[in-house]
Amino acid sequence: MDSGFAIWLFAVSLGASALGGMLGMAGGIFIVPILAIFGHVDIHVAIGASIVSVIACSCGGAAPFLRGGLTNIRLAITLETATTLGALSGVFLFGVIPTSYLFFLFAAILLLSAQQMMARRSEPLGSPSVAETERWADALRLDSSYPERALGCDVAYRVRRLPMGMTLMFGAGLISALLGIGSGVLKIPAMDAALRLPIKVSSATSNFMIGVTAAASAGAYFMRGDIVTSVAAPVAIGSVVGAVLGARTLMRASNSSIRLLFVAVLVLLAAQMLLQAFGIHFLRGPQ
Amino acid sequence: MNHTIQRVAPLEWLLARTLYYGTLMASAVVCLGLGLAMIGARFGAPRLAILRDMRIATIGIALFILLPVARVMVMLVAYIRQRDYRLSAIALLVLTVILLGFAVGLAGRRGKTPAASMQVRGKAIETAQPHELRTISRMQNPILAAVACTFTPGLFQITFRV
Repeated sequence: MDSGFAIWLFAVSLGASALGGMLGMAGGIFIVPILAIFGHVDIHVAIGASIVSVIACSCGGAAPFLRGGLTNIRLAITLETATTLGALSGVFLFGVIPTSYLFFLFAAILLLSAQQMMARRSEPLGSPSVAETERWADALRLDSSYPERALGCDVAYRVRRLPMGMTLMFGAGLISALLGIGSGVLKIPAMDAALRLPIKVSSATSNFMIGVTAAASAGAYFMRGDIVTSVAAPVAIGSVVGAVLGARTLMRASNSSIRLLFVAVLVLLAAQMLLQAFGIHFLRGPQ
Repeated sequence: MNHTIQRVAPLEWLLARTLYYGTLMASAVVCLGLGLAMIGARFGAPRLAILRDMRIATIGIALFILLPVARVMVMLVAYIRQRDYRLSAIALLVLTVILLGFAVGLAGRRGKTPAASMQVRGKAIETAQPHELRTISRMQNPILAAVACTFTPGLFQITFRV
C-alpha cells in the first residue's frame, strides 16, 4: 500500500467526478483514461476500479431524484433486464478482447461524448397523437408523470418504442461492462430518440439504472479477482466526495465555456487513447 | 410544492433511504480500511498486517457492489406484495442476471490471485515476465493469445510500458 499513490488516486477521482457532476455526467469516462495514461495503471485494473466508483456515484446520487418523483422505477427495472444482459456479455468479452481494442473503443466513446456535449440536448418531441397504442408500455404500466416546477403541476408522459429502447440499452450495458463507465453516452440517445422521455425523467432514470448495470459486471470482476482494492478503494471514495461537491456546485449544462473545456479534454484524452492503442507514448506522467 | 413531496410513493422513499444509507455505510467501511492501511504503511507495520487491513477496504467495495442487488431485492419484494406479477418477474430476471454475473466471475477465478502491487505501479510491471502479464495471461486459449500478440503491434508495448 503506497500512501502517496492512494492520495493521488483519491485526488484524481475527486476532480474528475466533481467536474463531471457539474455537467451532469459521471466521472468514469475521465477516470479510466487518466489512470491508464498518467497513473500507469493497467487498463483492466483501471476499469475494475472505475466500475465500483460508477456504482458508488449512482447509488449515492439516486435519493434526491427518487424523492423528487423524477425516477420512473418501473421503466428502470424493465430496461435493466437489457442492460444487465448487456453487461454480462461484456464480462465475457472483457477477458478475450485485446487491450489495444479496449483503447480504440474507449477513444471512440470519448469522441462520441464530445460530440454529444457539443450538440445541446433538446426536449424530445413526441408525436402528439396520443391515440396510438404502445403495447409493451401499456402491459407493464410504464407511463407516468413527473412534477414540473416551472409549470407548478405534474406532467404526464408516455413511454414509446420500448423494444428499440431495450436494444440500445443492451449496447449501453455491454459498453459499461467493457470500459468501466456508466455509459450515459449510449443511454441518452436510447431515452431521447427511442423512448421519447422528458429530459429530467431520462436523466434521473438513467442514473438509477447505472448502479444495477454496473453491479452485474462489477460482481463478476470482483469474484474473478480483477478488482484491485488498493486502486479501487481510493477511487471509489474520491468519486463519491467529488460527485457530492459537483452536485452542490451545480453549474449544469448552461455554461458554454466549461462545456468547451470539457470537449477539449475529451478530445485530448481520445487522441491519447488512440496513440496508446498503437503503442505510442508522448505524455509521460509521474513514475 | 408540498403536495408533490407527499405524492411520492412509499417504494420510492424506501429505495431512496436504502441507497443513501447503503452508500454512507459502504463509504465508511472503505474509508476505515484505507485509513488503517495507510497508518500501517506509515508506521512500518509488517506486510501481513497491511494486507489484513486492506481486507476491510475490500469488504467495503463488496458492500458497494451488493448495494444495487439489495435495491433490486427491495423492488422484487415490493412488487410481489403489490401482486404486480409482471414487474415481479422482471425484477426476478434482473436479480438472476446479476447473480449469474457473480457466478461467472467465480467460475473464471484464477488459481493465484495476482498480487496487488504487481499491476499497480509501472516499475513492478516492467520487471514482470511476459507470461505473467495480465492481458495475455487472462487469455485462456494460448493460440488466441499468440494471435493477439502477433496482430496487435501495440499490445506488447502497452503491457510493457504501462
